[in-house]
Amino acid sequence: MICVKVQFLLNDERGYKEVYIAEGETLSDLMTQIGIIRKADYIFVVNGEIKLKNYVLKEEDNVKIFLAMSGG
Amino acid sequence: MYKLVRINLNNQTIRNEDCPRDWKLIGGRALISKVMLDEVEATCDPLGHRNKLIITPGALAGTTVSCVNRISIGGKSPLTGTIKESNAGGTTAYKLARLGIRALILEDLPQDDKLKVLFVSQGKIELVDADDLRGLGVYETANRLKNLYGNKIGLVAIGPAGERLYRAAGIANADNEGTPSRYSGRGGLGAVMGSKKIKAIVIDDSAAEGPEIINRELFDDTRKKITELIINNEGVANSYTKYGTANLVNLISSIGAIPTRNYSTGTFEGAENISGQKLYDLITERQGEGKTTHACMPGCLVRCSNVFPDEKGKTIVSPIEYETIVLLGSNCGIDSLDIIGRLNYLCNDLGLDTMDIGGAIGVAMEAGVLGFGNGEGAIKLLEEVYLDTYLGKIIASGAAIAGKVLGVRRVPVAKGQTLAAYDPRAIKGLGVTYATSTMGGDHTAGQTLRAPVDHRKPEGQVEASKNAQITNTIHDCIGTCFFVGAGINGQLQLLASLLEGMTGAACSIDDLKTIAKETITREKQFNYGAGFNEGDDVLPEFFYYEENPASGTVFDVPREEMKKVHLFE
Repeated sequence: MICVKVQFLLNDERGYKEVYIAEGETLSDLMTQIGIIRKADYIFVVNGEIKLKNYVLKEEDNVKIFLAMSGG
Repeated sequence: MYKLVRINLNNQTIRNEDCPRDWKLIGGRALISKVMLDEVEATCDPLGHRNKLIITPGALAGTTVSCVNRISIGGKSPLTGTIKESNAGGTTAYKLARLGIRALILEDLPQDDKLKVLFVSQGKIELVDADDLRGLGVYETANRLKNLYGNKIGLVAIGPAGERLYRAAGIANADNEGTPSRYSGRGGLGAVMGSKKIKAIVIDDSAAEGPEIINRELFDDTRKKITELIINNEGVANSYTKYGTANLVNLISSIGAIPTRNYSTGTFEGAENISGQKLYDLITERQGEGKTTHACMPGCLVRCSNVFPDEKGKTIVSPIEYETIVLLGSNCGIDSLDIIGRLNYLCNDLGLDTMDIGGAIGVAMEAGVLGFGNGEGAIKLLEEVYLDTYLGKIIASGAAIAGKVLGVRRVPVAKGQTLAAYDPRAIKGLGVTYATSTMGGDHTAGQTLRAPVDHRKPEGQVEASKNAQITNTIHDCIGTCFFVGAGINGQLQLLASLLEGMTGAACSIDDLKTIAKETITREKQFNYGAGFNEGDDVLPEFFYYEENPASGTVFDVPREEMKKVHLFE
């Protein structure tokens, strides 16, 4: 298992949380583990860069989860 | 049958025409592209007698289905020199469609200098003397017209900036409460309306019958599906409805793409202070007239708008949104929502595009006219616009002209229009859109933020922009809000079904894509006729050579590849 730091920037869920996942797992797997169903609505920023859902997570990655909408 | 209403300002005549039979699916941006290409000489002076100003609801407007009542206003832009469609929420499209009007087309120029109001109602359309409104701000103009015609009218209005033909002048549309703050802001179309001496359009739909729904069963069934999808959409509820578009501030700053101090970097140290969370907290604390969520147009379930109050609970401005927050905020080094809100209000009242004014103030700061972060100084700059000083005129002309006059090289525009609030070096698909859009620098022409690409690499960006440009154009043609796409989980075929139910004409998602591609192709043809070519599809040079320190990237999507963006199969 590896540990990644996850920051939820959604609704009332804010702040960091440490999440343990199996080595080799991706952002898509992380979404499944934390219960995100509508995956297309979310953007993941890992260490300051947007990463696609097939990104393989690494120990100590800093993951921010945003709902992805657009401006106005 | 829908009608086109032609208002000739030269001889003050008004003529109704039936909409062509094969235009059942054509409204909004598609209609503008057809009228402009067929009827307007592309080389015309945008402020001269040959240009037209077209105000047209999307093809779906006129019912209270969520997200379907966007208005498109178009013509040849005095800011960019290209064709322009600038769309907004509010009640304009809803009321015009209920009156059976597919487009108001303002033609020619009047013979005298007197301002008029165009009054539009069931069975009566007339030009009314309104020179007493000269020089008034948009809010006072709205108050006077509501006193005269009642609070339920629809309203399209310009401020002093439009009257004075300033290139960053926009056109205000009233919202559900009659507040004139839903802006067709981009491209200087307020100056086109000002050139035609139309201060405002008043729309009274009280006697209107509303649009005919040809296939009621299909329409109602589709409406139900759309409603259920939106109200059960967690993403919409937890972002748009709760925080509004300001929810983007933290995301875009996190990825190094938030324009800061005239696009000198992509991370803003004051981002938390101007974020969606901060906005929500301030509105909740201050209460009074404040609203964290608000619908800008009839029937909207997304409700991403808001009312932002001051410390005493009195409205500063409504709404305050992402693009404005960033371009008048971080782009100017300003981290106070109170200051940004006041700037937003002043732009609205003057009748100015907040985005191009944010660009112009950022450029003025780079020129040393005032320092980055000087919010009170920025407010004084807009007060100079009221006073009509030379500095005020320069700011009200937008970033491109301000940059030239003030001797600034780093001017963030494409085809003369200020870029939107995403740095093209950090979200490169938007860079492709800014450079190649038929409208100049514009995020709504092709938003790629949700595209499955690595935003910092050049690969895949042209395809992402191409797809986004087609999707965004569909929305602009049928009058749906771009946000409905996320609300209905991307099931755009539902919008096609809704349109088929409304019109009785067969309509698939492929039909909508074809309409969008044909629209972009016509727009491009108009622009080429106006003298543009592939050489104009570029970003300012500094984006190619000056690294965005926050993303560590320059814009490097190959020009040759970008030429393919509008090659449709």
